[in-house]
Amino acid sequence: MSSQSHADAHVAHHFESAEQQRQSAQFGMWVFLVSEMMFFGGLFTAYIIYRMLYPAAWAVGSSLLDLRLGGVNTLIIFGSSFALTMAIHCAQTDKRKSSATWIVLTLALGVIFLGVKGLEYAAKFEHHLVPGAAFHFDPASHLAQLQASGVAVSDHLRTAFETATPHHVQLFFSMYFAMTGVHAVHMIIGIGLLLWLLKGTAKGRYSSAYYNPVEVCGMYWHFVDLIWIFLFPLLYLVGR
Amino acid sequence: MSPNHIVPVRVYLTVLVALIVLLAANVYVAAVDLGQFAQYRATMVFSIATVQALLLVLYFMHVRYNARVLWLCIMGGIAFIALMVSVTVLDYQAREWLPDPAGWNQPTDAR
Repeated sequence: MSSQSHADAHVAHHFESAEQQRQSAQFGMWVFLVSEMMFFGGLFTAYIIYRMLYPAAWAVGSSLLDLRLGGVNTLIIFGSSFALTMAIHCAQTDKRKSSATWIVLTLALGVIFLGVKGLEYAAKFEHHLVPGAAFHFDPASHLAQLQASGVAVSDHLRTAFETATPHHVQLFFSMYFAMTGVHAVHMIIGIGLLLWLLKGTAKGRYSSAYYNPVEVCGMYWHFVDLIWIFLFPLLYLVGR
Repeated sequence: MSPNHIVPVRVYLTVLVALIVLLAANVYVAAVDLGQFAQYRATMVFSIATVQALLLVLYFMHVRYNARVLWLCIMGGIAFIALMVSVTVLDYQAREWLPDPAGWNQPTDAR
């Protein structure tokens, strides 16, 4: 044991080398992330089927989402992913302080994302678009609201407003809240992981010799970003 | 690859810029009047999203720099999702292609 180098001190006894240990951690994380892909895949499938069955309600629902806030949130989540890659880069190159700063930035952007999401949810409550007893879809007033917010209403969309059935619009919003809600829950878990990473970084647990936790938690955060890359066009873009 | 493969910051920055440019392109395609190409909107939007996803997975998630066995894992996942979506969509699309035998299936609710 005394012949082990500093790098080997982090290698568990069932691994041959630090690199093998790192690759195993990556593979294990990907198996988990693929199971997460399956989980979201079920929601995506349900969304696609309902969109196929009720195109008018889906066009209406999608147009009632705030494209500006959604776009800003996409920018924010890209920024947070970038900040985290920098945190990993700094951990790999023994820049502990910079690594901590980048993790804090990632966290801050994650919290802002959830805040913007909260603003969007609040607007949906205000407009009676949250599924449940208070749900009330009124084509005329919702269309007027849309025009007032400066959205160009195409003939296709106007027809959709006239033909969509309220309970199918409610179904759209059920899918919207389920998908973005589950995504937000993943983000909250990610924030917990980042706080744990921040603690470890502050204690000097990670270095160029050992940074697996930073990389693996980073993969989780990027995965949440990956899901958003598909949620954003699915919910905000294609229905219009 | 070397045991301590470190991705240069330049690569991360390039990917970030590409992601933002593609986001702008995607919002543009979705918001603008495409005229005769409107039927291709969904295809364009999802092609752009797929490129974004690839950039994220390959560079931010380091898959490009890691063992090839990861590809098997990820492609396996994508294949099963594709199977789930395509077979379910086929089922719903094909349901009304053939008439039900008389008395086989009473309509319960107007679509």
